[in-house]
This record gives sequence, C-alpha cells and structure tokens, in this order.
Amino acid sequence: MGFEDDRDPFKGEVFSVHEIANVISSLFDDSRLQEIRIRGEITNYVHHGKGHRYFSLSSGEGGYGSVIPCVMWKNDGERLKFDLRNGLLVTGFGTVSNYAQGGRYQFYVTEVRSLGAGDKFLQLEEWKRMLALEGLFDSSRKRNLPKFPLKIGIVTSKTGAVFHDVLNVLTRRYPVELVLSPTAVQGDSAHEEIALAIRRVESMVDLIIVARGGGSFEDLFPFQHPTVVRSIASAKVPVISAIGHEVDITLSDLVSDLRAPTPSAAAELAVPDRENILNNFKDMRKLLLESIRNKIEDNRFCLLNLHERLISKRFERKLNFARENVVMISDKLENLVKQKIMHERIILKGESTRLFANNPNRIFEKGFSLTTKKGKIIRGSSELEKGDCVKIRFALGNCDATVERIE
Amino acid sequence: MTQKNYEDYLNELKEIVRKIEDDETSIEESLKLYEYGSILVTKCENLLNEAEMKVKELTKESL
Repeated sequence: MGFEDDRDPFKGEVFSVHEIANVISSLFDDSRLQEIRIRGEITNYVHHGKGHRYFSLSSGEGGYGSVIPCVMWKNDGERLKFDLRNGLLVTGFGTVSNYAQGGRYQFYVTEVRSLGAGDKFLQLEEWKRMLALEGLFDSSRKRNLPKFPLKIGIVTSKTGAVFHDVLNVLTRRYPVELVLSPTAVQGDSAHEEIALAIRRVESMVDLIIVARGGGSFEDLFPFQHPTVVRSIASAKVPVISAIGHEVDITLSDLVSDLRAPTPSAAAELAVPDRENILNNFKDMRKLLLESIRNKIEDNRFCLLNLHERLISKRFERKLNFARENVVMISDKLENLVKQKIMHERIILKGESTRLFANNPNRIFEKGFSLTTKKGKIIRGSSELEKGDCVKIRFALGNCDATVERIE
Repeated sequence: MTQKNYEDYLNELKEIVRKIEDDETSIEESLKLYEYGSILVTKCENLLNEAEMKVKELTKESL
C-alpha cells in the first residue's frame, strides 16, 4: 500500500514559509530590478491616510496589459512637484522587491516624472465624451424601476461572490425569481461577453442587475467599454449597475437607470422589503378601520342629534300650546255655559219670586178668610140673606156659619 | 325598487325633523311624522350597530 518511496512528493525536506519567502526575496536582488525607471500609466491610485501613496503602473494597452503594483512612501511623496492621479502617464524611479508579509512584489518608487495623460485614461475620456454626445448619460433617459418585479436577471460572474450576495439579499427581502446570465467580468473579451449576457437575459426578466465585485482600474475596464455601455442603454428592461466599490464609477454606472454602490445594495434597490410592505398593509388596514369607526361615530352623533330634534322641545311646545288652547277654549265654553246657567237661574228666580208672591195662602196668613155659599165665592154682603148657611176658609182650618144680620 | 341605504333613511329623517320643526305643520301630521321618524331612528341605529359589529369582527380577524 502507499506510494513507493521515490514517487512520494512528500518525501524529503520540508521548508517553512519564511525560508521560501527569503528565497523569493533573494531573486529580486537581480540588478535588472534595482534602481530602474519604469514608464506606465498610473491606475488604482490611493493616497493613504498615513501619507503613503499606493498605485499601479499599467502598460495602458486598452486596459488588458500588464500591471505592476507600486508604493511611494510618505517622505518620498512629499518631494513630488505635482499630484499623482489616475490616467497620468509617468516614469517612476525605484526598486522592485518582494513584500514578504503581503505575499507580493512591489515597485518601491522614490521619484516620479510626469509624461502627461496616459493611453488608458485618454481612451476612457474619449469614450466618455463620445457616449455623452450620443446622449446616453442624459438623466432624461433613465427609466423607473418596476415596483414589484417578478423576475430579475443578474449579469455577473458565475464563480464570484456577487451572485450569492444578491441572492441572499433578495431571498431575505422579497420573493422573486433570479436568473443568472453568466459572463466573464474581466479580460480581453469581457466587454463582448457582458453585452451578450445582457442580450441573452433581457427578454426573460423585468429588471437586470449588472454587477461586479471590487477590483483594480484594469479589472473594471470592460465596464467602461462602449459595447457594454450601449447594450445597457438599449436593454429592453431597466438596468441597475453595481460595479466595483462605492468609489469606482464606470461608464456603465453612468448609463444605467440606477447606480448602486455595491451588488448587495443593488439587490436592495431592486425589490421592496417584504416586511415593510406587510407593515404598510397593517398600518393601512388600521387606518381604514379607524376611519370607518370614526364615520360610524360621527353618524351616531348625527342620528342622536336628529333623534333629539325629532322629539324636540319645539314639538313639545307645540303640543303644550295646543293643550293650552284646548284648556282655554274649554274654559271659555264652561264660562259661557255657567253664565248661561246663571242667567237662567236669575230668570228662574224672578219667575219663582213672582210665583211665590202670588201664592193665595199668604192672604189667609194675614188673617183674611174666604167665604163661600154653596161653593160660590161671596164678594159682597148683598149676595147674602139672613139665615143663609156659608162656609168660611181660614189660613188654618174651615168652619160653617149662619148669617145673622145684613148691613 | 332598490334597497334603501343608511343615507336614504337619514335624509328622510332629516326631512321629517325639518317638517316637525316647521310651525306650519299640523299636530296630527306631526304625530304621524313622529311615528315614522321613530321607526327611522331605530332603523338607522340598527344599521350603525351592524356596521360597528362588522368592524369589530374585522378588527378581531386582523389581530
């Protein structure tokens, strides 16, 4: 079992990293790398907070040539008579050596002489001018993103972290289908591939994200290419761009309908947040119910008011008034009747007085008497003769009498 | 004939109240109006109660 001794790659001496790093460093002792002048275009320029300057010297062959990372220490940089910047064509003087801690070689620049703007920078400026003239960067061209996209296309590398970053954000925020249209994102023919990837996916989706992770000026160069810029401009659906880091703004970013600082940010801009939407709905529902409740309350109040008016004081007053009227009229009626009765009573009294006044018995009571002879009232003595029998009536009782003498 | 809604009833009620408040309206007429107005008040109250119940149910659902 196992390897035969002479075929086992692990047989023999094992070196430490440090030992090999020292070997590599010694290789840079070559006189061709010591105190030399290199001509190239400055790219990826960073003026570090501590005062050191980091940049690349690029061969400037359309963006796809060689690159050498450079460092210029603070004290050397302070002697510069001009500002370093991207796109500047320069000659640097210094030494190339191994930076063992970083695992890379660097050109340690001590002096820089400017040769004017570099090819790559000039190329970029020319493209920018040309495309701007075509109106591709006009803000009026920018399309609004769909509010609720169903399918989103992502044009990026099949292997990088970008796709997964975007997928993660989308999964968390909003249910949407993500279609990967894979493409190389750097290299000589990347611009052709990127444009093709956009064409391939644009009919299948509502929105395209063109994205690439961070990289050097040269790495991002395909996204400066007019082929890519034009394919974004003519895409059938809106495009969000997220190329490199926040500080890198490519021509693709200028032409896209929306520029995102990073691929994750692009995903966030592409879709609404599910939670926000749901909360929004909840708030709206609450508001709706609240307004219905208020409306009911208002109506109840209004109804109460009407109800009060329906059996209002005025109505009662009207009834009372009518009642008073009735009372008044009935009083009047009663009075009239009473008066009439009284009147009648007076008449009756008169009559009765008269009636009583004529009572014949009262004459008898005064002492008068009535004399009759054979039922006939005697009014004078001539009607009598001596010896006649008469009947005398008094107030109380009667008597029979005989006439004795006539006078 | 279409079903009368809350607003129809309320408008009728308003008109009735207006008439009753009008001194020209006779008592007899006012009484008749009052009777009908009371029915309308009950109807309106019922409709409002129903609406409120529905809102309560909906609120319960949304919790």
